[in-house]
Amino acid sequence: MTQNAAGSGEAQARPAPGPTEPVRELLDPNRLAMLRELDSSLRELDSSGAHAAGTTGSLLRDLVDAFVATVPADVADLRAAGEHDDATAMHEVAHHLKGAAMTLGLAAMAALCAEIETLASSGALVSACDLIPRLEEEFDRARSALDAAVSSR
Amino acid sequence: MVDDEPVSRLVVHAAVERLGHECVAAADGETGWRRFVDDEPDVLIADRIMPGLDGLALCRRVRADPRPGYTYIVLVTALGHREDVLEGMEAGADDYLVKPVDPFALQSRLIAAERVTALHAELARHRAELAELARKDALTGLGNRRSLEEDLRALHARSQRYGRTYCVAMCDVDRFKAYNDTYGHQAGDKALAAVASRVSAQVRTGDGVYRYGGEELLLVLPEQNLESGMVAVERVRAVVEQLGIPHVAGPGGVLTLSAGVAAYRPGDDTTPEELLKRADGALYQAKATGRNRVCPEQAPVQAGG
Repeated sequence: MTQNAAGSGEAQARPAPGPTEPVRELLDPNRLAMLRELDSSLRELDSSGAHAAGTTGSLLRDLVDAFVATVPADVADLRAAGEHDDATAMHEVAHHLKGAAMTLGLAAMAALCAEIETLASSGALVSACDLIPRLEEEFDRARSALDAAVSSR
Repeated sequence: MVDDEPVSRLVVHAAVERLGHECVAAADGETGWRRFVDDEPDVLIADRIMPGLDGLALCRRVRADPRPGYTYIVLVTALGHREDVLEGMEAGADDYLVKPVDPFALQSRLIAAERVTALHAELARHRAELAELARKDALTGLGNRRSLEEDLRALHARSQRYGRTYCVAMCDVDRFKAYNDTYGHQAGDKALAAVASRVSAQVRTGDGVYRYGGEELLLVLPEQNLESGMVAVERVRAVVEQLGIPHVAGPGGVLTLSAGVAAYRPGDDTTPEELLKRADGALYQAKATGRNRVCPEQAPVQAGG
């Protein structure tokens, strides 16, 4: 056994990631834990009636609602920017979407947004638009993961 | 806090409130600016990249705001945009956070913010106290020469512009040198402070009382003409006499005041300095005619009058 560094055992073997696509967590557990912690401390405050940030009484629920409510419009804006050859708009929307994804710990989705952002700023709008369907897939996956995370408390 | 992106806005809002602070959230720079103007917050957390008025422009606008009070600015920048950080700090930010905002990092920023805004508040308070002290005479607590010059210049300009009248009265404690010689300088200081405090209590709100020189006081009476000014100053003379501070060399055996009054009339082509000179001439008249009295300025010689 001279290659211990490569892995600790056969049991963890999984399909090798593609060369250009490192494996990413769907939902960053650290980020999720942090949001949960924030949520529960707000609930404590809530019992004293001190906080007004959210609407449903659950920060996590509010966050997922806000995310789900804005992403489809953002994706439509990305498409429209592509159709109108508007690199600035595409860059802005992708940046915005990346921020939301990162805030929720959606690493893969954030990475896709970052790619679109970079492509848009270098004027490669067609390549950027090619990524939109994958972005939508990621969003669907993220959405179920988020819903699961919210209800599993 | 200002962020156009609703998810991070919610997180920052929650993180700020969790720490027991009140948080007002705005979704764009212009709204953020209006809330800043209305609420004068201790801390502004602004996203660097927003459509319209972005975080940098907001920083610059806040720093250019002339109102007193200091707002600690935390700029929120995207990961990997290091040049944004420097640009932001130069635009007026005090600190920065990288997106996605970590509530722990935010908390540490707010601790520093609290310290810095408290220092700024203390500094502003000291500055105001110093400015106030710089206008006061230490012995009598009256306005000093410097504040007289500022106030009189302002009143003169206002009176010229709006066609109003005002009076100045140069007052001098009678035989004060003899008082000091008889009772000592400490007693002299006390007597002067007593006169100053009695005169201040006598005049109307809005009237100014200044220590002009050693034992000279100057009264500035807005909205008074020579006639009504004479009445007011005569009352001041009377209350000082009624203090009954023993002064063997003074008229009637008590400490008294002589005064000369001059008035600014709308349309007069004169300066505050000229007016003071006329009041001083009238004071000389009061001294020459027996002291413990108020004299009006000499009627100006009218051509052909």
